[in-house]
Amino acid sequence: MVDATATDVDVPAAAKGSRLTSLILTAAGLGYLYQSMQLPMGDPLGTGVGAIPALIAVCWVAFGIYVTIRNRPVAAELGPWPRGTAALRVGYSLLLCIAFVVTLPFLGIFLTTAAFLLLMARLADATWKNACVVAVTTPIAFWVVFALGLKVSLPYGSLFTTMFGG
Amino acid sequence: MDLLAQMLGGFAVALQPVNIGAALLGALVGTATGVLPGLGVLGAMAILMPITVHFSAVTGLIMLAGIYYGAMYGGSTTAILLRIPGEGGSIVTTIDGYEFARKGRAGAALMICAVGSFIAGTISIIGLSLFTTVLADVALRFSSPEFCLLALLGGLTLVRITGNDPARNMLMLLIGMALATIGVDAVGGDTRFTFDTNTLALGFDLVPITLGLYGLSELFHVVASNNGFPRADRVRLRDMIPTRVEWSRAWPAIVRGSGIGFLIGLLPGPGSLTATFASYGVEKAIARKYRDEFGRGAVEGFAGPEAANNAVATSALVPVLALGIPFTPNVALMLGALIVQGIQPGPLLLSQHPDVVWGLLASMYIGNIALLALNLPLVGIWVRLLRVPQYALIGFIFAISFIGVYTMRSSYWDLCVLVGFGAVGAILRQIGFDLAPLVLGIVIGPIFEKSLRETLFLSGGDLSIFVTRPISGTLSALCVVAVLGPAIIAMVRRNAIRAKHA
Repeated sequence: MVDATATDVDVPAAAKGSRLTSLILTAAGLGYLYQSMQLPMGDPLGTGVGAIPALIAVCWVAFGIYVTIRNRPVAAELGPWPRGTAALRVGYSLLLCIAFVVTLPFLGIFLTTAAFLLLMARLADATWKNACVVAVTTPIAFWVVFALGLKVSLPYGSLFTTMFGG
Repeated sequence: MDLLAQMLGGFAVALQPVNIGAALLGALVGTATGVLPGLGVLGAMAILMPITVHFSAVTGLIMLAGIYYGAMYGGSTTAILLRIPGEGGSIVTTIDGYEFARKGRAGAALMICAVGSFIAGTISIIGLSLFTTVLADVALRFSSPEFCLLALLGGLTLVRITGNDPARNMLMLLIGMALATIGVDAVGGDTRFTFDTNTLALGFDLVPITLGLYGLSELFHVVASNNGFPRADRVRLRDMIPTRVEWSRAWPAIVRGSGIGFLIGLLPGPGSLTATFASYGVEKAIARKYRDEFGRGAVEGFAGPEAANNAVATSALVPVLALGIPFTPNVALMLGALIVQGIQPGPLLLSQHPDVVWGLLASMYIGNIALLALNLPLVGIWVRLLRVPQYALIGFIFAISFIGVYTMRSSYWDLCVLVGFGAVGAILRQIGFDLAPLVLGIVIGPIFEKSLRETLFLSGGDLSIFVTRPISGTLSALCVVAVLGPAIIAMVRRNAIRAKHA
């Protein structure tokens, strides 16, 4: 989605964030370069399993250094960094996503999705009643579409399997 | 005659009930996601792509094409009614389309856009059928050096054209190419960068990465703002009939826009923005009687660009169907859908899987008719969709992304990749990195590596093979132009300005 109201970034903060990000990316490139140098380069040169990764890594590091040193701040698509409550909302939603992935093998698709939707709806200022409605109806809809309609095997979780014997 | 027979064969595939259903469903779901602010065409395609994997290759691809078209149509609806461009190609429509709607002619604007898109789609599908066949014949003469250079050209052009910083784009492209090297090597079958883990040996799948970078990162942004969706006025069906004057002004612009869009779509790089602005520029340049209306609701100002946007979406498929090389991230995702289904795109695709290619082409025509027949009567529903509470939609989109990705390979690792790239994508976008080159890098990386290594085997390590063969020589020259061209043009301009001032 193109944000028609996108504004220029806070330049000093963006420049700092941009330099740090470029530096991290360059460091990752160096790690990738080291790993690729451990692989055979092939005979003739360039035909081995490590040759093209090494070529990519050299270019990656070169461009990473250039972007870090130059550090030109550019207008971000999304506007300024979220701060205060907005930043907390993003952090909370990211934590919910991580919790979804971590608990899915144990709690299974129904409980995990229901809990995720309940908390996500509350985050988006839904009342408890509306949040509960969304949390109950959506997993059922998913089960109908994926398990019944598309015949896809859903992860029911070790808890569900233990309780109902698979 | 042969072409006609193949096209009829395509229609036989596309008209199977399951494929008609896939086209209709794709168009409807695509429009819904295009209408809702928060997800672009690529995000919509990425979210729904895991679902398409559960169908056959041709059905899945037809659904994905419907989503692509539908999301673009939905994007222009919000551009006209709310001045919010659903995707890059609708930016121009927000100028005159929105102003036209403010005059009380929103319904007519939507009708002109829909009919214009249909005409453009029809013209470009005919062109696509012809060009794909011709280009696929030419591509049969291509060998490893040519494919290597084509992949390079696609990447370099995207780096130059997209966003506003080629150096950052290049960095993203290289990171994408590096990610594609993790796991099993496509040439020799060796594993690399796996740190002796089975998980990394699986490699990074395109879908969770794209969905994380575009879908989840956008959702994080929506969660941060928590503004809810804007409200649009009600549009009645009877207000949708344009006047005779409006039609007579719209149709020549539609035809011109279709031609411009089709030709620009054949070139490497994200063409929709270029094509729509080119169409707008042409309409404004040739306007005589209504020139003053541009910027204040000129019919030509949105009819032409909308047609160009639709045409470019179709013709951008030519390189991927004929050569197996994607030049835009949207098309790269469609290529990814083919690869996931076990179909290797390339010059042999047309001869080995004619049902897929011709079925897709014919279904695009059916998808266009479906959009015209369904979306205009349903415009009231699309507008009402914006009234669905944000709390219900956000959680739903998050959850369907998780389930969709998991069901593709029943892999928890893919879910970790999805969330990880969602967070990384949100940070990179916030800082101003364009993510399209990264996605393209993941797709063209393996093509580039395989063809470069094969070329070096063939030539015994001699790099002159890239300039001594006629086609590869031309492609090498084009790569040089892609790198140095903009700098040379800028230098010539600077010198011209200096000479003028002197």
